[in-house]
Amino acid sequence: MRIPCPFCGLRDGVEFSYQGDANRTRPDPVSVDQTVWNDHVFNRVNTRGVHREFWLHNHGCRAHLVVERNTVTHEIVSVALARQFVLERKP
Amino acid sequence: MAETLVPAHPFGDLWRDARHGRMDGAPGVTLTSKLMRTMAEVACFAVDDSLLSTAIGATRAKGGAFGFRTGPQRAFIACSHDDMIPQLKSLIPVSRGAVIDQSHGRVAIRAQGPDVEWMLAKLFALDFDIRAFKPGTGVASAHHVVFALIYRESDTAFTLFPHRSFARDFLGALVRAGEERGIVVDA
Amino acid sequence: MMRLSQGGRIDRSKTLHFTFDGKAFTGHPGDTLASALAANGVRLFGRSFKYHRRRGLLGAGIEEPNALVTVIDNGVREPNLPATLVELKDGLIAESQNRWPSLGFDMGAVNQLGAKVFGAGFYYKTFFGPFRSTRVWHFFEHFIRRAAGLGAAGDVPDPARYERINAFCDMLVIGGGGAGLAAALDAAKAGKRVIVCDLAPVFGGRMNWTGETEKRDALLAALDATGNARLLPRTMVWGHYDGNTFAAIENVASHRQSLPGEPRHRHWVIRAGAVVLATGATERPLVFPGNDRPGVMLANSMLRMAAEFGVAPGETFGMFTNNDSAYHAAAALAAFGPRCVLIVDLRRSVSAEMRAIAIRLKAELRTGHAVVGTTGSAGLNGVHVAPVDAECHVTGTEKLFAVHALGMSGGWNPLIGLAAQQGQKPGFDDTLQAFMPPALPAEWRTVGAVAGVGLPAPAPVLMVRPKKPLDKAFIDFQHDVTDTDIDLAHREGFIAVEHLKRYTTLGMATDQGRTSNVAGIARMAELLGKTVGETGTTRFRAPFSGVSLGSIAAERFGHIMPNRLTPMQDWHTANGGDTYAAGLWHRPMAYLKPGETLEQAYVREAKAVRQAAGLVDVSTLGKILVQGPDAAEFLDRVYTNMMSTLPVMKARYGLMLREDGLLFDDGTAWRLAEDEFLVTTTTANAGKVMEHLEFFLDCIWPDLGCVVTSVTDHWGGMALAGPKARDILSTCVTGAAVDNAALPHMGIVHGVIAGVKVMVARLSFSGERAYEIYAPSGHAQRVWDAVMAAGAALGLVPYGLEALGTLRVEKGHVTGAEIDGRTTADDLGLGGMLSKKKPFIGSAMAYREGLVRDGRLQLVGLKSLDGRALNGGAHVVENAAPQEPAESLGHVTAACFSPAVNAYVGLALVRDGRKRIGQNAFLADPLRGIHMPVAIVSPHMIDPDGSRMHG
Repeated sequence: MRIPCPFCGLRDGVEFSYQGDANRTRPDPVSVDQTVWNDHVFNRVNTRGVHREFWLHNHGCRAHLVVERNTVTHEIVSVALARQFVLERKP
Repeated sequence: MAETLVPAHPFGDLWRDARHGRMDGAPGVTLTSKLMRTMAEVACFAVDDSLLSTAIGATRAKGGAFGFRTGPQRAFIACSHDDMIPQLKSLIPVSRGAVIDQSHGRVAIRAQGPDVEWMLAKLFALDFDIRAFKPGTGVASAHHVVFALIYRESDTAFTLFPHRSFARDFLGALVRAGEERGIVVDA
Repeated sequence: MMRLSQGGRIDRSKTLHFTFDGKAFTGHPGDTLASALAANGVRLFGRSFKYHRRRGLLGAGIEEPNALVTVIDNGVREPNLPATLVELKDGLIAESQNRWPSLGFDMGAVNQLGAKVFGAGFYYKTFFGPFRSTRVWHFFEHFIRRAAGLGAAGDVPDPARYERINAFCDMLVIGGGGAGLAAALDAAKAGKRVIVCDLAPVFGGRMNWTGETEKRDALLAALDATGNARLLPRTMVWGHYDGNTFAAIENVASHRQSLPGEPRHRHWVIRAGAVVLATGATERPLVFPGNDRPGVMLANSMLRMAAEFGVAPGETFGMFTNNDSAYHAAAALAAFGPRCVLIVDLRRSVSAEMRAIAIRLKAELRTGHAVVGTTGSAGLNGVHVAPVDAECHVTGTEKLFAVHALGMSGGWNPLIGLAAQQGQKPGFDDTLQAFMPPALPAEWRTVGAVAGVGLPAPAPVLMVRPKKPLDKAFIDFQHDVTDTDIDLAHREGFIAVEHLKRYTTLGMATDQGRTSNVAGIARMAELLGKTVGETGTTRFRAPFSGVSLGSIAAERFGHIMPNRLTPMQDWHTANGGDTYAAGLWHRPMAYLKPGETLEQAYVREAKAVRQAAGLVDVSTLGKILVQGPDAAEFLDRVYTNMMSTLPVMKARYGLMLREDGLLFDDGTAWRLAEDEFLVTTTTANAGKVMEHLEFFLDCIWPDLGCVVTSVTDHWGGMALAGPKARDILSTCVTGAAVDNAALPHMGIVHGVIAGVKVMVARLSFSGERAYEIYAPSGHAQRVWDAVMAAGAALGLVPYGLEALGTLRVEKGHVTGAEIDGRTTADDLGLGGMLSKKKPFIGSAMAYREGLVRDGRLQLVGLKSLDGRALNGGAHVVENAAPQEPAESLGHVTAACFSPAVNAYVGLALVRDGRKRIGQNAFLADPLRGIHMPVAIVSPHMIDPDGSRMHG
């Protein structure tokens, strides 16, 4: 697998480590609603198809990336810097 | 003061004048090491903050120095002057970023020769062809778990910056990779 | 077979010497082991897998299933190499396989007597049938295991070097025959970077045996002139992975002596922009009784042997075919001297052109006929030929024809493996009667024979059906799978092609069904009443053909973890430090004096620390610089306790939890400035904590003005601990006072030691008054020397990991042994560190029912009651009887001899441990026969109120 890091360019999969589902929003840290927190920490949708996920460019620039990757064909559909994705996502 | 003290040599026994591997013909690669008295990372809170280029420019203006981007918010500089850290700190306001002294965190190894691309291709999953990796550019990568910054100076010369704790092991890996074409350590 | 006086790309002017099964032979440069042996008249190359039948060459290249040999080089055995792919070199030593005592007289041949029983599923039916529930299987297992497999692995260490290398290109051309070279040339001329791989030692493919060597040379010269092409001969591309990444193995030096520093095999990882598949096609056999007799070969392989290697199949030869390519091969082969005496064609009618060839060759032509049997004990000397109908049933009497060699051609299989390794299904072409490359990604192209170019259209029949076959008819030569095995699989319900494969082992050998799959699938299709295309192929998987494990391992064997060294490494080694690798870092366990055991050394060191002072290298701790206006806020969110209230130049012990509320790591945060903190982590978790912090800054709170940077390598660290530590420090530090007022517990000062600017923090891991001294790594040794010198007169000793562990066990300070991912802060007695004033990572989940209930494992101390040492991992139980220890109440996490308590002690996690303090229990370790009494005590075995640290 090769991922096109927005900073470093196309790099081998071995340089990256998977950091989980990027479709979740972290609950309000002040909340202790166990149902909401259990869901956030433990439950995932096992998507067949295009999946949005975080990857860390561990052996390169060490930036976190948001990658859309097809779990069936392994095609990388899109890549963005995580911090820009998250900043733009906030209301 | 500490600035005039010479840091301990990081490489151990393998760092002595010797040729390894193929003995006939001109060596494929020659390794040298130059003491970088200042090495630092510059980190900004904003992606692609212009201060990163400013810091690189200020370092390179000193002559004989290295400066290149290593990440969306990061730059690495290395030079033989003692006074770069205060100068960099004066360039980077606290509200926009930070300067991290790495003068002892990394070491510099220069690899030069006709077979340097071939040798480095054994260690790094990077395209070292000059069309893909141009002189004057630097990248961050790793050989297994040994992180290294790699800067291309010219067609046949690269300087690598591994972490100090891995210096001996990394040197050993370079020598082993270079043995096929003949590698010289020029201590 | 015999050597031709002319022809082939062998160099008859040079002679190479080699041995096969101990017998000496000669050959020439350019020969393979197979061609050299054949030229010497050798017909017998091996014994088949199950039935131990005599086998000769079927092919001339990668299609060869029978002639598997073991090559021995300096005692190192490399088994299962097709002799057709072994380049001849001077001094080559090779042996045949799967035979005892010799190839000519093989006891295994007795298997043929039981041949009727040894069909597919034999083992299961026998040992789960009449012998079910007996121990008969265990008796026969010994013999069956000895008979299993083909070659034998060696047990002599392999001294050869193996390497891997990365490559990038705009276009990868797989296969260096005419079509591949032409595609490569087009791209190279257009300025693209091209890599061309071919598994043969020379490029050109078929051009090497169709006489088109000038065309080959012109293509190669033109490619060279572009300066854009990298040609890799002896390189087989064997795996296709995501992102057009390919694995290939280059045989750098198996065919000659290695040069100094040269690898024997090289593993290439090639990333390509575009891909051209030019792998060609291989011929496939026909299935008829006795088709495995030495002397029966693939028709075009027979030609290749003559044209490329100068070896004739015999004085006379025949062809048995269902397509036109055998005729052309016959004509080309006859030009080298051997006489074609017979052509048998399954097809009732053949073209005028083919008839003309037969006439020109003066060969007897039998159309609408089949070979139904072969004769000859040492090798082929004749074939039985009979008329057949369109379904290949024998319709008349047979006639015997004398012939030295028979070429068979059942059609051609494009080598599509690499294109199908990602799971795409190949389609079946009815005209070519072959599986073709599947739908390919946009960057791929197929050229030449693999795309069907130039392949003949065969009759759709591969199997001959005599009424009473006098011999076995083989489909898979390497695994001895016969036509009747397919029928058996169908009868027993293994009709899906993946089941057919596993039940019969069709296509599972080292040749991966290259010559066998289609016939087997076609027969199953016929039995099911389906088309071959509907029946389909099994899944193609990497590697395409055999690959050495050495090439895949490359440099990763032996001590494979890189060595991570502290600045004081050389001093440790020179001063008796018994270092070992804790993960990547090398650390001294203890500094052994002459005659000391390890236990004596660490007890001496620990005692010295509590009585005088000790110095330990702590450079391996993770050190992370956290900077920015929001650094304090960030640390408040990450740690369980408050960090924003930490004054500048003070340090604070902190805990981090995971999001699920369990304890993640402990460490210390030093506040060096309003917006600058140095965070330390445990050695083992440094990387994980770094990733944890980076994740939250990038993905959860990117709005924070804060950056984190690892400075683990920049700082060397040492801890000076003991009642004399302050005195020693004061004699070597200048530029800062270190008395209790200037440097109280958890304080930080900047000072100078031996001319080096250092940071000193008063922290204790051991329970003694202690100071952590951080110096830039390049000067750390100088500082260490100065401290050691300053402490010499006061009894300062260096101490290692074992003593460090002992001290912390006595104090009850937790490490990664207790922070094991299953414990909470409260379990370890640290629940009070969870702030109630602010949310932090893990706070929402830390009070879940399961994490606060009774019965959880809690941290306690243990003291041995009978003078025996505790051992880590032993279970804490209540029962005195070793044979009935009953349930485990917990386990030992750390154990040592404690000089402070003068007993063997340990730390443990025990159910409701805090309530059990004061009780006695037992340690059970049944695997090691240990059952011993212990007392459950407080984990804080010395200085529970901390006065030694705080004074």
